Amino acid sequence: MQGKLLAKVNRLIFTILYGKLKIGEVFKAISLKIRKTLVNNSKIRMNQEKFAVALSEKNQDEAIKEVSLKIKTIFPKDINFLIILFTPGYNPANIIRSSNLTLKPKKLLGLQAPSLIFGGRIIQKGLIACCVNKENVSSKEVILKKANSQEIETLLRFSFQRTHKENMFLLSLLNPSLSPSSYLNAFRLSLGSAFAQLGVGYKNQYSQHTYQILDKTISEDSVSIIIEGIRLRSLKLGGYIPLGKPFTITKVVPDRSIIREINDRPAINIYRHYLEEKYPLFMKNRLFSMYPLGINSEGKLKLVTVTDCLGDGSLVCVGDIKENDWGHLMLLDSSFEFENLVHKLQGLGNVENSLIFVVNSLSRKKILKNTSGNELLTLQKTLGENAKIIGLYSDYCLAPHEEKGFINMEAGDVLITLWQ
Amino acid sequence: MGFLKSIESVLFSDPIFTTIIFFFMIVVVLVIYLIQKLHLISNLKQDLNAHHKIIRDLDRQAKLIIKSDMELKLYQQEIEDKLSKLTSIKELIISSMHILSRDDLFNQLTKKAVNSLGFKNGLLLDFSDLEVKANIGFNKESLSLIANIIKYKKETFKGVQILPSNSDVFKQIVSVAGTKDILVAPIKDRENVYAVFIVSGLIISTEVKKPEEEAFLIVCMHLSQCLDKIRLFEGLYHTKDDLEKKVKERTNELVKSLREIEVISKAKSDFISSVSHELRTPLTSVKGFSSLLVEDKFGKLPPEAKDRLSRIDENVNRLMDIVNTLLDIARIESGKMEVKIAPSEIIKLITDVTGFLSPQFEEKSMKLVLELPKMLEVHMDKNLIERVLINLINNAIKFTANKGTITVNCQQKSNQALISIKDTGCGMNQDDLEKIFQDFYRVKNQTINKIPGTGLGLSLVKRIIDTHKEKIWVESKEGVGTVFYFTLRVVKNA
Repeated sequence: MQGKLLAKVNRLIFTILYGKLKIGEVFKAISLKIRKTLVNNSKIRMNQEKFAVALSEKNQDEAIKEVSLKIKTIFPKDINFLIILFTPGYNPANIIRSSNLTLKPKKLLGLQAPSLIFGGRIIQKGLIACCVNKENVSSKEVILKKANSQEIETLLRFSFQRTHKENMFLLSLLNPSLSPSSYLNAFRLSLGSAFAQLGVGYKNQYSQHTYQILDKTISEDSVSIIIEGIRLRSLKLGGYIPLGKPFTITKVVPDRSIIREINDRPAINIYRHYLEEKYPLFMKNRLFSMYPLGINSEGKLKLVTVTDCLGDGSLVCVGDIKENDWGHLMLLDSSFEFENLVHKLQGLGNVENSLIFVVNSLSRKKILKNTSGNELLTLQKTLGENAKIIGLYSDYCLAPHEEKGFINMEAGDVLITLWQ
Repeated sequence: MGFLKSIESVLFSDPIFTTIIFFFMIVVVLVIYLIQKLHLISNLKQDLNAHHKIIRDLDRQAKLIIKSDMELKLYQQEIEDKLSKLTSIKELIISSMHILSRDDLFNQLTKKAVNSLGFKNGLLLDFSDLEVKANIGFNKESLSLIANIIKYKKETFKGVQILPSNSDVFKQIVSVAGTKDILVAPIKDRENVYAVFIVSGLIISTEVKKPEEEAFLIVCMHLSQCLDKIRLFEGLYHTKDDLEKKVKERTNELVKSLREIEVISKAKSDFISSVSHELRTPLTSVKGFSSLLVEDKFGKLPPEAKDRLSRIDENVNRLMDIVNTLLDIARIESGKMEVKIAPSEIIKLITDVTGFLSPQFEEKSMKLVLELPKMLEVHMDKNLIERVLINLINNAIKFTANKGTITVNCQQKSNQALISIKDTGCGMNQDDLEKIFQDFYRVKNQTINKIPGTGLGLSLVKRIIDTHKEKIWVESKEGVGTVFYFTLRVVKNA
């Protein structure tokens, strides 16, 4: 392009020398040519980039201004679809006002999370903006108030009845007031268990208020959004290994995700059995989340995190549990999983011009502590410095089963999704 | 063949026998089958046992792995907690290092600080009034019970850094707190126990170990040091306060005395001024007539009368001189005298004054030495400095014997002119030097006593120099002579 421009300039100079053009006209012509070239270059770049991400760790309006400036350098025109992830402490009203002033998105979606992921880093306080530059991207959302399975089913069915199933997925953010099992049942009945879904949920209230933004609406309830025009693929990184002999869940309270009995004995005995003399220390420090349960699901062990123990020895869990399911006690050793990361990521296919949206587990973060950031660093290094990685932390996630494809609820794994 | 036929005939000849034989054969076959199955079952059992053993081994290994993993994680957590504790203790020490108030110091004992020591609850009781200065997690009942326990046990805390677990007081506190993981220590210096610090309810560990004890001790010792420092500061502050009060009282007294002195001084000046005024009018008249009489303006007087009249005239002159000096002093003191300080040539003034006094030098055959620069411009009231010079040179002439030497020196020292009048007179002792500028002071000396004087000349000179905000001083040695110095400010670029 530059070579062509130089040739054009040379030709113009040649023309001047022969007195065919006046000098003012020459400069006008040159500047016009340069402007055209710049616009073309910008268009080329815009056409190439489908996603733009930006992070700011500043406060309130400053953060929005900073991310807007960063986004504008990539997408100078108005934004089609904007997703904002933010940690507690940011005023959602300010986010709406400032983003409508600066980025003017046609569609704005804001999700609050206790911690965020940007590149290879964990962000404890910050704001991430993600812009989608695809013309055919659209969305439709529904706010899920605290309701039973039947009501949710009706709501989902009514809201998303005429949606196509290709290149679309359901993005859900479920707060503690909504039972994940009820939601999952309602989802399976209304949209079918094979409908692509990316769900994040919280078992405990991590902040006094949890906000979601849907255009100009601020909601503290759970939300489900159908995003059309983006293809979702996912991959799970676990690193949990099963330990000891298998056990059978013999008694549960499904709606409340409580395991009453394992092997016909109080569920807590599973820990007492393995920890023996260390059991009092385990109980004193409430280390349940360190050793989740791996429950068989179509030949794979899906993780169920234990959050607490009741007085009768029942275990309070985060996950989908049924009577007669068998499983193992699990131990996290992610070193092997991340050593083979390159091989694992091949399952995702070409990641260029894609967005990597990571949903990481809060319990995993709790287990790994300071080293939890290393997993993200490894991910960033493996995918390359230019890979756009964003994400958030949650208690559990809803994602497709790796082999069977139906939506599963899990807690403890790193869910890597590819948005294309 | 024959043998087989014989068997066949035996077997089939008797059907009962044949049945028995068949039954027997079936039994044999079944036994063999059973034996085989039993063997298989035995093998399977062995396999099952082996599998069970493997599972048991795996389970045992799993137990080991989980236990080791948990221990490892707890150790990791402990290390992190200890690091965090150290950081928190460091922060506590830094933040409380410069605190100089007890309440501010106790406010540093927050939940974070107590947690950093590895405990959930913390309590600080002031020994002086058993008031709770910091409470994290203790309920009201426990507070009053613990306060009652330690109330009369001050002596128990004097000799210890940390209360031993076998002491009665410790056991009583444990029974109130309802937990054994508790630490109790006094906050004290060498003599006084200021407060008692109690922490209870370990966050991670199940029993109090050395690290928790050490961290607790560090904080207690630091608090003790801080309290000691605060006590010293308070003492110092009170002393300073008392001192300031005393200084203030004394200053007030001095100010009061000064005002009284000023009032008295003003009254004195007013008195002198009015008296001098009242005296001067008749004196002027007396002087006029005595001068005319001495000069024979009213006719020639007999020599004796003229002699007496001359003495009257001289004394009137002296009296006039005293009255004028007193009036000048009074004017200066009351601020009524108009002082016009302006740039003026000092060398010319000195030569004029010495010229004016030359008859007196000649009369006593004195040598006058002038050590003067060509010219020097200074800030002065010319008339007043003229009086200073006249007074000082006149004194030098008066108190120097015939044929003596008087040296008038003037030199510039940086931005000041230093003028000195040196004589070779009888000199003065140290006592006289200190009082020489006082009103009416005259040196008690046989030679000087013979010379008439009022004791007001030098007093006036001092006041004139003071009004110029300059300095005057004297150096003298008995039998050698006296030097008077005074300074004047040199005009810049002079």
